[in-house]
Order: sequence, then structure tokens, then C-alpha cells
Amino acid sequence: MTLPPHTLDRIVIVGGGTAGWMTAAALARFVRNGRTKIRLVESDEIGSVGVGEATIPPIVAFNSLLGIDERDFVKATQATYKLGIEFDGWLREGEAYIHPFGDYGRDVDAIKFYQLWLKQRSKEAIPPLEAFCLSAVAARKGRFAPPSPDPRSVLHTMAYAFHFDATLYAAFLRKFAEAHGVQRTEGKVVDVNLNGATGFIESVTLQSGEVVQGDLFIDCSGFRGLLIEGALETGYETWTHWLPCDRAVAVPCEANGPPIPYTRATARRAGWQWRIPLQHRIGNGHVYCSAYETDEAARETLLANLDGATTAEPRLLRFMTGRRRKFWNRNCVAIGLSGGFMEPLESTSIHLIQAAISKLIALFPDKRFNPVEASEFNRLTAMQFEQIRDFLILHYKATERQDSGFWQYVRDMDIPDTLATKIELFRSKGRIFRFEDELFGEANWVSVLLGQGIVPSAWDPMVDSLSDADLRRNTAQIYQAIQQTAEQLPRHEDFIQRFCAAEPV
Amino acid sequence: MAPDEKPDFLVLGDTIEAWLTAACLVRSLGKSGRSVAILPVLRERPSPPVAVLPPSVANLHALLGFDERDMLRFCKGSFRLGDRFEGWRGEGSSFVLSYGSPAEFPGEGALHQQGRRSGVLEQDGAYDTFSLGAVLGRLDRFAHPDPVANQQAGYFTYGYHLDADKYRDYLKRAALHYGVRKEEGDPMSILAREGELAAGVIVDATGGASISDVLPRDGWRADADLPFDQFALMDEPATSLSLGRVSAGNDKILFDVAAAETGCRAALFNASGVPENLVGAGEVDVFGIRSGHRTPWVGKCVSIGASAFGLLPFGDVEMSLIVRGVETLLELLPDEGRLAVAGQEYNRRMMMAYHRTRDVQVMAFALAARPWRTAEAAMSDQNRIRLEQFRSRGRVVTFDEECLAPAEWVSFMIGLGVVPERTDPVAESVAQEVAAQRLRSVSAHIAALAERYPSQRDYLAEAGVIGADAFGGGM
Repeated sequence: MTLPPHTLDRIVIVGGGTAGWMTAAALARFVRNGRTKIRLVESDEIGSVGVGEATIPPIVAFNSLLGIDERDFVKATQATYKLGIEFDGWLREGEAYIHPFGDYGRDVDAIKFYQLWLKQRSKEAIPPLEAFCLSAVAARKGRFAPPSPDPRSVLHTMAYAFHFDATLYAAFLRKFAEAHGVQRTEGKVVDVNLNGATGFIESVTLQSGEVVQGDLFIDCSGFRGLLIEGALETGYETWTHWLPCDRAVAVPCEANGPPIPYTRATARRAGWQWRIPLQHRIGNGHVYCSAYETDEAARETLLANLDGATTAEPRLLRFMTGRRRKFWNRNCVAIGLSGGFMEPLESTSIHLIQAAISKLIALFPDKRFNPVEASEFNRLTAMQFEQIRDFLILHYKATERQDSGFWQYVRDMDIPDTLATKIELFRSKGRIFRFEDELFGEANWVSVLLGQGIVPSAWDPMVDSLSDADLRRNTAQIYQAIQQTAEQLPRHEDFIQRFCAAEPV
Repeated sequence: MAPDEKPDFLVLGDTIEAWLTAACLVRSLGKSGRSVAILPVLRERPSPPVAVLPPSVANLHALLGFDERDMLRFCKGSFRLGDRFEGWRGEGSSFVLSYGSPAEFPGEGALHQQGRRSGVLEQDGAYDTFSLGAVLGRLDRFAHPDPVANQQAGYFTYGYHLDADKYRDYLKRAALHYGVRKEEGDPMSILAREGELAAGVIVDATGGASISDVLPRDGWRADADLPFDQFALMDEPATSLSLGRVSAGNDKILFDVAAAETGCRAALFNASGVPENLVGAGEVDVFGIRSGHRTPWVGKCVSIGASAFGLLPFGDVEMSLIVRGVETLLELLPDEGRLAVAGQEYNRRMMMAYHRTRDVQVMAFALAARPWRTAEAAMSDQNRIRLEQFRSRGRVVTFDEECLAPAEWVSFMIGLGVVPERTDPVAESVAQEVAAQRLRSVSAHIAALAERYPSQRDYLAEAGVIGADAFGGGM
């Protein structure tokens, strides 16, 4: 096959883990010109963070694009299905809501279902909005089945993602990537060699003395950003003013029952605790702000709130929320934690890896490294980080908690104008407007805004074109259809057992 | 609503946008008890005899319960598939910008990426052969899209060319039918009734009539980077019912468009160099083009259409912005207590819509092989990114409130002569010879399919649009 002369010869990925192997697998799948070689350098001595075990629905498409059999993947990674996230105690103690995947109810004549619900709730007591979302109802009932392709079926509205063991996922993708030609090199990078004239990375030197040359380098080395920061000194923009949590302590524990099909995020005195059920264990972690909580107290809080006995020692992680000033600098692209970090409140870490890979493929460079590709990658990635940041800030800002200095701080803090406008528009008439291809859609924003107690003062006037009787009948039908459908689904654990149970550990 | 009662919405104007806004407002407000009135002050500038409607108008027509066939019969309309651009890459060149998307390449990589590898993009008009809408447009054939049968030919959608006066009357009937109150009397006294502006929200849809100067608004800001500042309207017999024709010459642009029984030509030129063939055409009135914008929503006044935005009058840009303006107003439907929030959001979105629509025209002028004053200064950051990215490796970047869909941007830039410098590596996984063969087969399939479509004139005759008397009871 004739290829353009500037086609890349060598891509070097530094760092394995979830980011490294996801990148390697995707590039191996999509860059199949017969010339570009992909090499991944990682060291068994360096552990991966591996806390990003919960995902959001786009991961389904990622696996499918790679051609991965979903049930094989579930089996191999001890995965469970995820239908949403329960936020417990975020508005006030003792109250919980689910941010589900999938839509609410059924729109009527282009009027959003939640607008119908808003009007009806102003007139009479009706079930909460989540009772009209199949994913939420199935989650509460501990049930699961894949969505139906038939758009007329209630089951069509179901959307899902996974909880999985990130270390096993990396191993699974490693096997896939190596089978597609990726060369793995065991070794620790001890030096990064830059071209004196251009400042581009020419090679990395391994502890063994081997020099690995490349045209394009992908930094998947985690928080430290070995290439993007260590060598290229790209700089970091911090967002701790809005997202002040800066530490996490993580520990797995034994499960004390069948896995529930949703993540739980429970608000604590100076942060929050995650609970991620896998087939063989439960992943737990406590994200907190060190200005309001000591490491010891955070650890105690976590250990006091587990379902079962711990299966490993708690690990402390320090982080600084924010992003790299450039994600793509010269011939280096930072993917994963080396590019930036936001707490896993909405399970976006793995999605950010996936999104960066998609953008890299869409903007794939050649040896000339046209700067328009890097600048576009940086523009889009920065925008995505900021959109997710705003969504996370909402969870903190819209709280009624006043039980600690931490919650008082986040409640009173200033927020970005983009978020303030969004909240005000929703408060006014329940309007949600998305910006530039935003990850979180209308249903996501509605569930969190309502869950956090922001209730519109009015509804879409078009709802008034329906009579109260029609409104009531419509709502009742949808409620019944969703409850019945959810009831008929298999139990989550039964579904796994039947189709994709992992080998016992 | 009692005759003297202050309406919740007062629409000013006797234009298409005025009646469309009034009708859609009253329909959307339904049983909410909120009222809509219209004060049909006359437009002071000429409006073209053919209204050019984009596909997006379909949602508003659905809201109004329009029966398409009835509307077309009443308005003597035709189905619009897009525009044919002639002479933009030099004399004799042409390409079609049609609504919809070309066929998908059967294999990996986008069709235009494979087209680049096979050298198709350099050939004038060759990219059109992959788009059923463009091929039908060139042949002036039409039948309603059949997504299942056309699966391998991409998809096309359509707007309309309508007799403008008749369309305005059709909208007027709908508005009055659904309960819009028509205000009679002296406009100034109605506006100033009881010493204050007369309604909860006033919609200026006058097309820029001077009466609207009494409204509390920001001033007009000229965006003078487009190369023409004058236009003239002339009657012109129909050439194609399916496509508008935008012909470029060194000193002018001609925009020809035809509905079933009406055709017209708009000539755009510059005051400093009036084209020779217009000189001496004594009956031609020449008007200045008001290129620019104002902040569309200030206080309780919303401007829609030419009252808010001025672009060069070719293609469907004017109606696109009107449709977007009405849709956005309906989405926000403000009450008096929340005007500020609604206005802020309306301005944010409509200014984006204006700039993205303007990007289309600026792109055309920036890339045309014509000795026009370049529009370099008018290139927005978004347009610059879009062009850079496409030029680099054929990647399409889109932004919020775009006027063109991504596939349409691809056709447009290719038509204007932009060939990506290199190919997306994903496309390289298919051997070049295989790709070329598949492209030939896609194009042959579309050509054969298009031959099976009837001429638009026959299709309209079959539907009773041509040769029928007035209708108008079908909403």
C-alpha cells in the first residue's frame, strides 16, 4: 500500500495502566497502515492508581468499536453493570437521589417529560422523577437487562455502563493490544531526551540503558506527568478553589451481598465516600479536603463505613484538581492522569481517557506535526474538562448542609459564570441548555439539579396545552409501564451469573 | 382577550417573520391564558417575491398543524434541495450545496477522505455525485425522501421555495385562526398606550421599519467586511425549482430562485462599481444592504429577522435566522418576572447563530477565486479553526448554533476548492484501488437511483400544486 511520506513510524506510549492500554488498544485498532509501530513502555515496579473503576455509558461504544465481546470483558474484569449513581446526603443528611443513565418518561409533542412532571407535582403528590426512569427504577430494584433495540419498547430507554477492576481491564486490553501488534517493553524511564533545536522528544532512556526512539510520545505516566511536565514543563491549572478536595484513601472490602447495579456516593463531613460493587469485592474510597480533615480521621471514617472486612491495606492518594495547560505539547500527548485530574464523583476519569483517545485519532498527526492539530486537541480537551468541572461543582454548591466548615465553604463559594447561568435558567422554567457537544445531557443535569434541591419556579408553558386529566393519565401510564418493566427484568446478580460470571478469586 | 387589554406578547410587523412569530406564539401558549396581538406595520424595504425556507422550518409548520400539500398549493411552492454555486472557483465551475448528507463510504474512513485519496475532490463538482440531494437538484427532480430505499445513497432533506406574499397570507390565516388579535389604529398610540409600552414582551419583526425606532433597543452595529453593499431585485423566469443558483462574477453575485409560478433574481454588487449590465435597466430599484446586527433582546423588546440581523440576501440565511429566532423565543417563552434571564440566554444563542450563519457567507467570499475585497478581517475564530482543520486533514469542526450540518460544511468547503492536505490515517486501512472502485460504484448507484425520480414539475403537478387554485384550509 502506498503511504504518504510523512506517516509516523513510531509511537511510544509511556506508562501502562488503564490509560496506557486503552490508548494502545485503540491505536492498534485504528492505525492499521502497516507502517506505524506502537510500543508501550511500562514497569511492573510502578503500580497504577487504578481507582477509576466506575464508568459512564460511552464506554460501551468504546469497547464495541474495538470489537470486544462485552460479556467476555465483563467476565475478565470482574465487572458488574451500572445504571447510575446514588447521591446520599448531598442535599441534606438522610436524603438520597439517583442520577440515572437513560431518559425520563416519554416526551409528549416535543414537550419534555420532566416538564409535565414539574407541572403535575405542583398540583398533587406524585412519585419522584426517578420513578419515571427505567434505569433508576431497575437500579433501586437491583435488576438489569440490556436495552432493547426496539424504540417502541420501554426497555429501549435503559442505558448502562460498568463497574470493573481497572487493573484487570488494563490486563484485558493489553492482551488485545499485543494481539494487534503493540510491542510491550518492560522498563523504567530514567531520562527523556529532547531535540536541542525543536524541543521535541526524541527518545526515552530506560533503566536498562536502552534508548527508545519515537515520532509521537503519549504520556500515560499518571499524576507525575513524566514527559508532559517532567520533560516539557507544560504547567498546570488548578481548580482547588471550586473543588477543594485534594486527597483520597481507598480500600477494597468483601461484599456482604449481591452487587447492586449502581455506584453510591455518600457525603461525609469533609468530602464523600464512593462504593463500587464488583463481582468479587467492593471498591471503596473516601475523597476529602485536607484543610478540613486529617488523613487519620479520613481513614477512620472510611473504615467505619464499609460493608465487609477489608481485603487490602488502605492507600492514600494525593491529588490536585485541575488540568495541564496543554494536553498536547510538541510531539507529546498527555492522556489520563498526566493530563489532569477531577475527583471521580461522576465517574468521568475513564471517560476522559476515552475522549482523549478519540480526539487523538481524529486529529492524528504525521511527522510534520502541524500545530493546528495540537491546538484543536487542546481546545477541545480543555473545554471538556471545564464542562465536567462545572457539573461536579454543582453537586457541592447546591447543598443545604452546614454541618462542617467544608460544606459551608462550598455552599458559599463563587462559581463559574457558565454554571451560574445554567442554574438560573433551570430555576426560572426548568430549561437546560447544553454547550458545545457537552458530555452530560439534559437528563443528567435535570437529575442532579432537582436532586440538589433546585426546583424551577414554573414549567414550560406548552405543558398547559394538555388538560390536567390528560397529564394525569399520561404520567400514570408511564409510571405503570416503567414499574412493570423493571419488575420483569432479571435480578442483576442472576443476569451476571447466567451470562458473564467471572472465575471465583 | 378584550380589545383594550394589554397583550402578553405584541408582535410588530406585517412580514413573514411577524406572522410566523405570532402564530407560533399563540399556538405554543395554548391554554395558558397568555395572549398574543399583532400590529401589522408595513415593511419599508422590499422583500423578494420568493421566500427561501430551510428544512428547519418543518418543526414550526408542524406546530402550526400545516398540511404540506395544502401549503404548497396555496403558496405556489416548490421543494428546495439547496443551492447551486456557479463560478466561485472560476468561470464555468459549479457545485451544489444540498441539504443532508452524502452516501457513507462502504468501509473505513469518511467518504471525503477516500475521495481525497482517489483525487476526486480536485475535480469540479465531482463530490456532488455522492450526494443524492445534489444529483436530484442538478436534474431538477424530486420525490419525498425514502430513507429505507436510499440507505446506500446517504440522505437528503428539503426546504421550500414559496411565493412570499402568499406564504405571508397563509401564516396570517393561521395566526388569526389560532387567536392572535390584530391591532387596528395608529401604531404610535398603540405602542405608547397608557404611557408605557403596550405589552409584556414586544417582538420587533418589522424588517427594520422606522416605527421600531421608538422601541428601547441597542443601536445597529455594522459588520462591514462582506464585499457587497447594494442589491437589486428583478423578475426572472424559473430555471430550477429545486435549487437556488448563486452565480459569482467579478463585480457581482446573482441569486436566482424560483417557486412554482414565481421567479426572481437578486443582484448583489458594490456601490463603488455598479455592474455594467445593471446600468440602464431603468426599472430596477437599487437598495443598500444593511449588513450587521443589533443585540436582539433588550429589556422587553425582542428583534427577529431583519430587525436584528443583516446578511447578504442569498440562499436561505435570512429565513434560517428567523426560524432559529422563533424557536429560541418559544423555548424560552418568558414571563415578565424572568425577562432578564431569558433575554440573556436568547442573546447568547442568537448571536452565536448569527455569527455561525455569517461564517458561511464569509467562508464563501474568503475562498472564492474572484477579485473581491477579501473578507480576512471577517473570519471569526471559529471559521479560522474550521478552515485550518479541514485544510489540514479533512476534519470537520462544528460549533453551537451552526447553520450547516457537518456533512454540509464538507460539501461546501470542497465545492469552494479546499482539498485537505493529507488523509485521515483511518482511511488508509483500505487499499487505494479498492477505495476508488467503491467510490465509483457509490456514484453510479446514486446516478441510477436519481433517474428513477420524477421531475419536480411533474411531481408538483401530480400533487396539484401547479395549475391549482387557491387552497388554505388544510391546517
